[in-house]
Amino acid sequence: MNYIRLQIKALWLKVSIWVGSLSILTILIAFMIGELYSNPFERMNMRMAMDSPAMVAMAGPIPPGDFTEAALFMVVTVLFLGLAYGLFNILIANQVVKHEENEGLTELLIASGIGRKALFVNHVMVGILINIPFFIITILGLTLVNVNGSEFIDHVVFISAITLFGLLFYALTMAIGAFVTTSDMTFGIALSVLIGMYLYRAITDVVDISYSVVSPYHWLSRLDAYGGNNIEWLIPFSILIIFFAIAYFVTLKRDVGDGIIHPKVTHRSRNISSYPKLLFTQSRMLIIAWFVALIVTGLSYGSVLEDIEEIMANNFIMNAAVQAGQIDNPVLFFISMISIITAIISMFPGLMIMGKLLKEERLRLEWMSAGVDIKRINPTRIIITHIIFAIVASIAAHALYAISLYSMTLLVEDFPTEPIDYVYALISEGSVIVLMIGLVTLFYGISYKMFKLIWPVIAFLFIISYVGTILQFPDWLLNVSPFHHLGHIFVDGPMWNVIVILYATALILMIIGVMLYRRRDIQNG
Amino acid sequence: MPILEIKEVTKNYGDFTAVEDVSMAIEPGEVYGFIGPNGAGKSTTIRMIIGAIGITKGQIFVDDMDVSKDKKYLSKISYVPGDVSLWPNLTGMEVINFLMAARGYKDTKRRDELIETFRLDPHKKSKTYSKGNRQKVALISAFCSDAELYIFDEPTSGLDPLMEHTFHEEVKRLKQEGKSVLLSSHILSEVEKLADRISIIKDGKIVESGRFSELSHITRMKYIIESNEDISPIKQLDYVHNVEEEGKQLHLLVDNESIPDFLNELKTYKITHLETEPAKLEDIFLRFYEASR
Ligand SMILES: Nc1ncnc2c1ncn2[C@@H]1O[C@H](COP(=O)(O)OP(=O)(O)OP(=O)(O)O)[C@@H](O)[C@H]1O
Ligand SMILES: [Mg+2]
Repeated sequence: MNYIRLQIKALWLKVSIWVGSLSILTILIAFMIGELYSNPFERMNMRMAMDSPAMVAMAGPIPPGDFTEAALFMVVTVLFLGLAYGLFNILIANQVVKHEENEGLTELLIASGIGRKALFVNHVMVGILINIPFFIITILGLTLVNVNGSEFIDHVVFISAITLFGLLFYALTMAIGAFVTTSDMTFGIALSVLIGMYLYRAITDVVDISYSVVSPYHWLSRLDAYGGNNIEWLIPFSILIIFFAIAYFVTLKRDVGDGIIHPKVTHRSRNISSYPKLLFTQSRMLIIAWFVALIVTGLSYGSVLEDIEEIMANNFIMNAAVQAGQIDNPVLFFISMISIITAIISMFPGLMIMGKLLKEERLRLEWMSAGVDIKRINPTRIIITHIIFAIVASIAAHALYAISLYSMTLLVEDFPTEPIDYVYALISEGSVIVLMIGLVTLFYGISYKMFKLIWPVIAFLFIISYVGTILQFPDWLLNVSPFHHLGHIFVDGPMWNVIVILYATALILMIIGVMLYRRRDIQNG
Repeated sequence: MPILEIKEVTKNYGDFTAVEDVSMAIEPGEVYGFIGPNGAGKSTTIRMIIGAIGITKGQIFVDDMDVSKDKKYLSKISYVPGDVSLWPNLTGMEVINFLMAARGYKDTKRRDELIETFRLDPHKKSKTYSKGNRQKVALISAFCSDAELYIFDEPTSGLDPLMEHTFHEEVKRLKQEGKSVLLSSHILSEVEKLADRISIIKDGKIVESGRFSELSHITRMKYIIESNEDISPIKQLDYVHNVEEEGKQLHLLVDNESIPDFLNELKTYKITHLETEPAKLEDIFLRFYEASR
């Protein structure tokens, strides 16, 4: 049991931050919806707006019953909450099971007398323990908020499903970790399943919902919490027992620190003669994965364009967001919205490449940069290499999304966009992408530890962009988001002055960040 | 002109002083031992030399270049830390080649020789390497570079005795080539074997430095004595330490400055066996460890 205590000590901060922000956000959204959508007419508008393919692709199908405030709350949150909560579970599972194994801790524990079976039981226990706080806090919070159309039992059903969804991904990560050697690869595969299932469901929900049944996200939707409460849709989550079983048997069979799938042994040495080449070998997989994700995103949104137009053409009731934006072309409005969301997604490859600086600094920078020809390698060059890679990867990812979306528009007759619009969108949203890379450079330049501040900033940017208008956030809050100043690019066209200011700010942040970085001590070990 | 000159250097972390007023100089062709207990400030000093951390007070010169002014000096040094991390998905060979390229060296013959002497399998991915093998990769890269000053921070902590020996041979070779070496360690026999001069650091301060011969005033002599009489009163003497009985023999350490007194004392007994051993670094250390208790 000492081991569990050790784990709790190592995890409590991370778990508190995740659980704290996710439960508060969930409760806050419930509260805001209760405040803003008490008028049934507004809710009906909202329902119609959400019943469009683009919105279904994003947020899932509309529940069949009464569209109460509670039902609206459920639709707005369910899939994104699942996604975020799943990510939380993947991160923790990967750290507990795989990262520790890679760092040699598992071997140490086994050497000190903890049996492998006991260790496995402990890992499962940790998985269950980390899911309890969210379950309790969120149910309590939602009960207090008491949105119209909800009862205590509804909250229990809804949050049980989200918690099970998280635990499912915890179990899945453990199962993947049993097969794969490194924690990075375990994380990569688990994350692809989490995102892949979301995107798969986005397409099938629109095209033919019966195919969606494979995706755990669909189980969340079908549960119809706050409506039918079809708790039989909790049953499929029992598949997590199978994942735990797989993890159990495979882990017992193989050596500690090993995997079933082995990296290839090559006798050919690649010629890695410069830092950019080195960074390329280190980030290639990550970049490709995000490129694929954004192409798929572009294609999946593209595949529903035809229907948007059709539905929008017959539907004169604009959704709340459209009203708030005072926009008369909903199709272009939606493309603009999606473009912002994917711009945020496109930031990830860049930020993750910047994140590689952390490991590099902690483990190797000091050693690598002592005793070299400083014209070839020095800390400044290294950080600049990362910045350039980050910008290129993120912009390219966003461009790939735009290209795949545009190619889908060609299938739609008279679709009201031109290639140049996408170029403008790329330039316009590229400024925010570059700005965030500049911001993270500044954070990192100030201190090693400040780097991770970028993640709440991105989460915040996402929330403002995704639900800011729907939840009618106050103007000052919306104004914090740079996207807000860029307008709806496909409707308003590029705001050149804002764009120039954003790029210039990004550049200044980068320069200050690099200068601070040069002056500060290297963090080691 | 010394290749490395450290002048009254201090490093503070907030209120905590990790290194205080440290000075030393290493001449070309010299192997310099840098020893001290855990947390004494060895790595901190080295990290200031290689420019990884700033200097709070004082100056460091490498080959007459102020390290906080211009980073050009970095091409004159070669550094191996005690715990080496490599890029997990690169093979040992790829890492060595990368570092050679970063230094602008092309001597693949020397590289292959070193891989041979250190018995490294260079075609495995780094993530499969043990601590010792990762260390070897760093050592090979360092030894096949053409630096003036080699800095090793506890370089043999992961090596087996055979490889330790190989390392010692390579250090001697550097010395013969007129290169300078700064060797931080708490493996004392290693420093004793290799170093011309040493500095002992404790709690951030240099407590002693010089040649081994010059340090004799702080060392202790080891005596092994045997007698048919009762010699146990000797154990009580102030300057006698670490007494151990082995059969009839008494093993003990005597403060160097008290040796005449000790010999006088011995005269009062009938000694059947007397053996002495030269000062060992261990003995120097013991004294300083004891002082800290
Ligand atoms: N970044 C830091 N912040 C605060 N204190 C530090 C930092 N780095 C080192 N120290 C402290 O400075 C002191 C000297 O540490 P240093 O690593 O130089 O010791 P060392 O002589 O190399 O020890 P060892 O033999 O264990 O390697 C220690 O007390 C350590 O805790
Ligand atoms: Mg050290």
